[in-house]
Amino acid sequence: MKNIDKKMIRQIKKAYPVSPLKESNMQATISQAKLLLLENTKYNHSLGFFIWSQIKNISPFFWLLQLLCFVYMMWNVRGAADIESIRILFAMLVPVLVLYMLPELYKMHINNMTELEAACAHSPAKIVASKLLILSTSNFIVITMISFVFGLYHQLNVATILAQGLIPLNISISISLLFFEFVKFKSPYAMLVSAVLIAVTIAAMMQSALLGWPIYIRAFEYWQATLFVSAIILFALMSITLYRANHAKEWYYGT
Amino acid sequence: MELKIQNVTKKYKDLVAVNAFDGTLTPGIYGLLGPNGAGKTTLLRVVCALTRPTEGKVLYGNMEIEKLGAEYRKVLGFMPQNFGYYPHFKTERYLEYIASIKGLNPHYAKNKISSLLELVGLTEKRKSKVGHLSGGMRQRLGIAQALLNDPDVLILDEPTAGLDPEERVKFRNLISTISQEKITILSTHIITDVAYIASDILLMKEGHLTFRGSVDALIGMVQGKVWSTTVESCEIGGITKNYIVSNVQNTADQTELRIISGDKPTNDAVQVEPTLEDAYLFYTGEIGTAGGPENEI
Repeated sequence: MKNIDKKMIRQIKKAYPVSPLKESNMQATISQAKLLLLENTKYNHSLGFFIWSQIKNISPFFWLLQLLCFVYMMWNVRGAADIESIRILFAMLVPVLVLYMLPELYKMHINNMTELEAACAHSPAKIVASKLLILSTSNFIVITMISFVFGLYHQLNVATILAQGLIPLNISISISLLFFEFVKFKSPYAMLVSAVLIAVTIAAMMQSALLGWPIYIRAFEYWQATLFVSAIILFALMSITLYRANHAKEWYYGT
Repeated sequence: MELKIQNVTKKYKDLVAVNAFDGTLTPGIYGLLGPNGAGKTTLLRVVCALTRPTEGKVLYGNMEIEKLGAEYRKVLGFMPQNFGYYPHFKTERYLEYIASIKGLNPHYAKNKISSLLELVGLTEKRKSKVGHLSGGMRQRLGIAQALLNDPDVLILDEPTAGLDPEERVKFRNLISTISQEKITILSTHIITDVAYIASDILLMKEGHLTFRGSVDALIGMVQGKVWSTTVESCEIGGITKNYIVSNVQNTADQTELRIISGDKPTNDAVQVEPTLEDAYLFYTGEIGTAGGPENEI
């Protein structure tokens, strides 16, 4: 049976002779096919590229701040042995950790990229969402790492320590978003100065006995509820930011 | 492939920037001409789905572009009038970033960036910071970013603004090369930019589309209406008040004027061949008080 098949194949091959192709023609066909394949798959697996590109576009200063805050906290691991001390450290450092969020969110407007980016497949809302995701995730990772180190070193509950960091994180991001939405900066310097002032004010308020500290302490007696409320406020502000980013074009050009 | 602009009106409070613009565009190069404030940029923003029309709609393949959303933006290439860039970006990185927000896959983007840099003559500047490029190079980079997704609809808003004549010729040739099988709208107020490459002219004035047709048809509209005459310097004021004067050339003791008028402006005026610039001035009526017809399409 096999022999018959082979014989048949030989006969068919004889009946339909194929002239040998030039190597250059073969290569040209392969190149064309590759191009066609690329063209047909040009939108495949693009989300990772988009996120990676947004990460690469974040200022090195932001990453440096994350590193500095982490190093500073590690430097204080021995000294801050109880929840109270850790809370004070977080209240002071987390606003600094979030400091560069405002300049990053404003970058698009200040560099006149809004019009160009708004005409691309990924909408301004997606761009703002990805930036928020990247920036807040990196803040969260730093706080989580710090909480683990403190928790393990002093045999404290990691979740409780994490909450001490997350509450100022939510508050700091919320205030940055409020500024982003309702204060329109024209100059990068004005924006950076404002970001620094916000960070210093939040840190000072959380430390000051006259301003926020008593409220802060009282709130921490019910830290689960405080965390919940701050998370709700942050979620609401993020939703407003994304909604407005989705309609950025109309605000930008008027209606 | 069709782009239908159906009765588009865009109002900003009391100002009507675009007024009942209507037209269907098929592949080809469209020169969008008009004086400053004619509504060209607003129309382009509507076509790019950057702003919603107050009335009317824009359809691509019989679907409203607003409903198409990202699907429409995937076939759109846009070069804004003053496009920005992040200061730390190098040429190649800039294109890579735009490719990522255009939703392209990295392999396709890498290939496309290389070929586009070559096409626009910026391969040697791939590692240069965008801020260090000359005006012409930056405009070419603007074209390259618009072409990254190989768009079917290419919108170029004043792409030759600020370029020297040599750069403008290069740019024109580039646009002509890349615009095959695309709907290309080239907005400009530099008439020679579109005279050689546009298949159709869209002439706007005060938000209205006042003329649509080929370059020859537009020139044909002023056939027999362009005059050349030599006058004394003291007569110029009176003539410019009553006629559209497209050119004033001083000779030793007299001045030669190029006048656009239905009637013979002076006794010794002779008819001359019209140019696109004459036709443009006839329709937009920028100079003098005698403007052209306003609602003729």
